[in-house]
Amino acid sequence: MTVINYRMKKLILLSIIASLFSCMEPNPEDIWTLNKIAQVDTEGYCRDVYISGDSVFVAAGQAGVQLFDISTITSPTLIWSMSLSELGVSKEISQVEYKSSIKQLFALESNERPIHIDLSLGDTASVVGQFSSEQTKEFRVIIKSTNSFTMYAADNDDGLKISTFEYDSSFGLWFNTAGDEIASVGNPNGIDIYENEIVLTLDQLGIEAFHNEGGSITSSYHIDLEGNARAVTMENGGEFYIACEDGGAFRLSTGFSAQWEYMVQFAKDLFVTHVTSNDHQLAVSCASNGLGLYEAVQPSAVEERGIHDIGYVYHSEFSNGYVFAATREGLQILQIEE
Amino acid sequence: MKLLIIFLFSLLCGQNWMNYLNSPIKWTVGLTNGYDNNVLRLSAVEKKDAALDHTIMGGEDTFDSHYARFSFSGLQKIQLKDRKKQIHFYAKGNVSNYSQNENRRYWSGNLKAIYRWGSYRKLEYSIRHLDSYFIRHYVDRDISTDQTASCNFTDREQRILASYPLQRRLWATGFVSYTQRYFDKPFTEFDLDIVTTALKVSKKINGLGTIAIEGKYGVADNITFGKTAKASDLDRSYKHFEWYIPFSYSQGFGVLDEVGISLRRDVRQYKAEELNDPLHSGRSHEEVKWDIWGEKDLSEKLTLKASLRYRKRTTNSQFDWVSDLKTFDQVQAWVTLEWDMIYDRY
Repeated sequence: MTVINYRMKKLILLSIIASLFSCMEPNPEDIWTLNKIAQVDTEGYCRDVYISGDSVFVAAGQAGVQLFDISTITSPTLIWSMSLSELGVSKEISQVEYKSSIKQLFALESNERPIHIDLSLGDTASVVGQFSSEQTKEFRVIIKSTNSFTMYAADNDDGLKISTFEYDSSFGLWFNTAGDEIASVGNPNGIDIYENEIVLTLDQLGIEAFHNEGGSITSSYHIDLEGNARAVTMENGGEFYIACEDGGAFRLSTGFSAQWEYMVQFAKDLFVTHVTSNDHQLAVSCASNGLGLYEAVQPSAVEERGIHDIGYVYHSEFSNGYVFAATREGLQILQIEE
Repeated sequence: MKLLIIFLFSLLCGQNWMNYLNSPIKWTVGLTNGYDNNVLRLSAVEKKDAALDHTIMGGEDTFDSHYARFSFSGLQKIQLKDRKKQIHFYAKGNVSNYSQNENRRYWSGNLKAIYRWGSYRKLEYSIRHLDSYFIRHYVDRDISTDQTASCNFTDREQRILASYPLQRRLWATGFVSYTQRYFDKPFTEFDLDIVTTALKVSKKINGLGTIAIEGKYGVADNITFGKTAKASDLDRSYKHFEWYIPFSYSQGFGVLDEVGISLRRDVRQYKAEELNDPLHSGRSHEEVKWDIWGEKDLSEKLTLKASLRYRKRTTNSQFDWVSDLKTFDQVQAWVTLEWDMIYDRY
């Protein structure tokens, strides 16, 4: 019996040794893969992108404004464009926003005034005009009704600029019916709106939040942040992402006051120009550093998921699970694989 | 695998296979004390930069370090029915510790199963494991432009080796090995599968010693190329060719029983051809290692070995600054004391 036990011990020992003979498995990393679905040349730098169904509007820098059809996502087709001369401007187009309910397109001549383009006339695109204030850095358009909209602009020399337009069917024209200017703590260069809450980025001075109560807009609080606050993306009234260039980016929850519930800084060594989110996925535009992917982990953390060198990235947006990246190398459509 | 080998040979020789295991085991305990003058393998440029950029050093204060290694090995020789035939089992484990570099603490080990059927005739299967070996700190380019992290890798090498006599006291040894070099997080973009073949011809010269020449050719496949983020945009696959000439003189030299010298030269050519990345584009390196060693049997059971190694890696690039940045030299010296023991309960 002793002999059997001893032999069994030998057998176990040999089995352990034999198990070591197997090959190793590579260590998995928590990095997300970024697959390129399509890339289109926009001639000028692709500065901004706005997706509306199968239509993708592009602020194509010195190439003006372009519209692509993405009904076949792998091969976007250019279906319409307007050059700077057709738009009646001379610098470059840095932002674009389309409102499908009123079929009006808004584009921003960099550091100048927004341009209003009427796309409601079938195949014809007509420039209605430039309005609001010079040195506009970014704007948001809110639709009030089928014949009215209000533009909120980050006016670099005046603060928050508000312009309301109404369509007069008898003249067939849009008239500026109301407007206001609200001074901010610093010079705004970015804006975002969520319901009644408005947040401006104030470059070196961080951010300032405003509350809109029935048309009466008042400053709620101001928070200084590291770096140069450039763009803000609001998740809801009290939670947002702020791109702070050299300061990286911040995930911030304020709970409607300057006493934040949490503030997480990430992408600190990247030059962050914009942050966009899709549920837990964050796409961080990092200029020459490419596109950074991050995961928003509940309740308040942000974890790195990889920087992808796709060129010089100005801005990106999520739509239908795809990332639309506005880059110097053109418009890129990408898909994240977790 | 090992069980299978034992079982098959047992069947062939008509013995109960467990009977073969009832033979003495030679255990050896070794303690090595060594010195490494350039643990992080820094070039002269990097050493100069380290004064201003402490991240290069990964938190350490010195370029050099003392190190100690404890090893424990066992060898069992099993005599088969045919007196010329033997099966050897060999196992060795090492634990190493660098006193002045706390990141470099690791263990390694190897296992061998050898079948011998005469002089210079053997067939060997071995497996070697090197666990989480620290290289240095690098920038984790997948998530940052300046954030460094410890870069460690684990090696698992499996090798089949055969040896056969060509003439009297002249024999050839050849092997094929498969090495998995997998890096710890966050540097998995460096992961390699390496297949190496080698041929060595050795000559034992009466009244002198042994001289050999070995040629080795290997192909490394960067299996994580393009599979992480920015850092894996570069294909780190390479091919390398190495030749090695060792000579050992076994007729006594002063107080030493045996002395030896060897020269190893390895040329590695990387596959990476990224025009935007001059640091890696079209880079190759040539590495030369000189080793001299001496051995003295202090008693029947105690052996003292001393070694000195000079290593120089010269990096070739079309850019001089890349060559300067990646060229380094290193001196290592170590002394090992080994104590042999026999365990024989039969």
